[in-house]
Amino acid sequence: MCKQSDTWIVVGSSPTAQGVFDNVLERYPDARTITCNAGIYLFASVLEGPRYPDIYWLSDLVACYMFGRFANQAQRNGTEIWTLPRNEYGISIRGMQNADRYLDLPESDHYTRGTYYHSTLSGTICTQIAVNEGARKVVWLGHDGYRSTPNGKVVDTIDGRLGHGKGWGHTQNVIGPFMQAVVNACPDIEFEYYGKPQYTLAGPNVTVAKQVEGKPSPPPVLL
Amino acid sequence: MANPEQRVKHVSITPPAAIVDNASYTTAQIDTLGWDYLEVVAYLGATDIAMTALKLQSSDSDGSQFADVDGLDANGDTDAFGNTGALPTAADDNKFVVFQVDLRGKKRYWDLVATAGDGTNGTFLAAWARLSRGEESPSSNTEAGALNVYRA
Repeated sequence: MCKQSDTWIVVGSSPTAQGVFDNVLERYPDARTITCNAGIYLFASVLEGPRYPDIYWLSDLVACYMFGRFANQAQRNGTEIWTLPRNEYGISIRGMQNADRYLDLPESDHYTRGTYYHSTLSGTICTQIAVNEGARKVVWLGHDGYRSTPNGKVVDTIDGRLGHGKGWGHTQNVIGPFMQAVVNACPDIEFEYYGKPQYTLAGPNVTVAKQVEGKPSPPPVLL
Repeated sequence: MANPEQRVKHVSITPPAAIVDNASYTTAQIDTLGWDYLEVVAYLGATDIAMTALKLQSSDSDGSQFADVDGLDANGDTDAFGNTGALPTAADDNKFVVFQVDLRGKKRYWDLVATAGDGTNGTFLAAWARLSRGEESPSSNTEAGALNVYRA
């Protein structure tokens, strides 16, 4: 990484991310960028040529299978691959032998600023990384959470996959509380949220917007 | 005279089957009648989430009334080497958790409680028991609990 900006763009994979990704990157051209899992598709699909995040968090077994090729390509172009430390077999079945950083995430049930913990979902881990790496401004996109329920699975990610039946539960019990906890614990950090959060997010240091001004965005995703 | 290490029987508790997510594994109880020592091995496969329960329970009744046993709960009991135990985490792929029990004076039936955490994909787990110091040596593969037992 050679950027020194203290603005971080933390890219998730909710469908609304497609409508704001290009404009956010244009607004903050010097920001550090981090994403996980399907968020890499946004970087890979820039028409002018693929962009590469500064950090790509990849640890989940299925995600490593799905996005390992993108991770390798990104790493060849300067992206740092961060993952969980595991034993040799766990690393090898995920293809993480050449990761740039193995980040230990102790078990805990709450967020404490300045430390790391295993917050279950990769997008939340990306936010922890941004904050702990010194962000003074965090720009969130694609962190709306999941809408799928056991009786109603819907498209929950930008690549069109249907979500898990328990996705809504994760949104209410993991994502929402985590995001608010970070906002509360970091009053000196400015948070800009782009998208349509499926949870309450409020505070004097956070703004929530559906769109970002700039060149015309792709057609909005119907929700 | 049979080697005492051969006077053992293996019992399947949870076979290596489908991944389990945010639920308890189906386990088979262990009937320890005729044996003085029990070892249970929980073998984690690929995982991306911490487990929420892993412990042994015992009962005098066949199939019911199982209760916790001091020292045999991975969630906080002290292990055999003086360490405070902790449930397997999201990074504990392919590790063993071993429970060893001197059965003398203890209840007859044992069961493993194993619950996968609420992650995205779940946790692979297999578990089995090794009964030893038996009153009699197994005289067949079936009595040994195995498809085949090979010796050299």
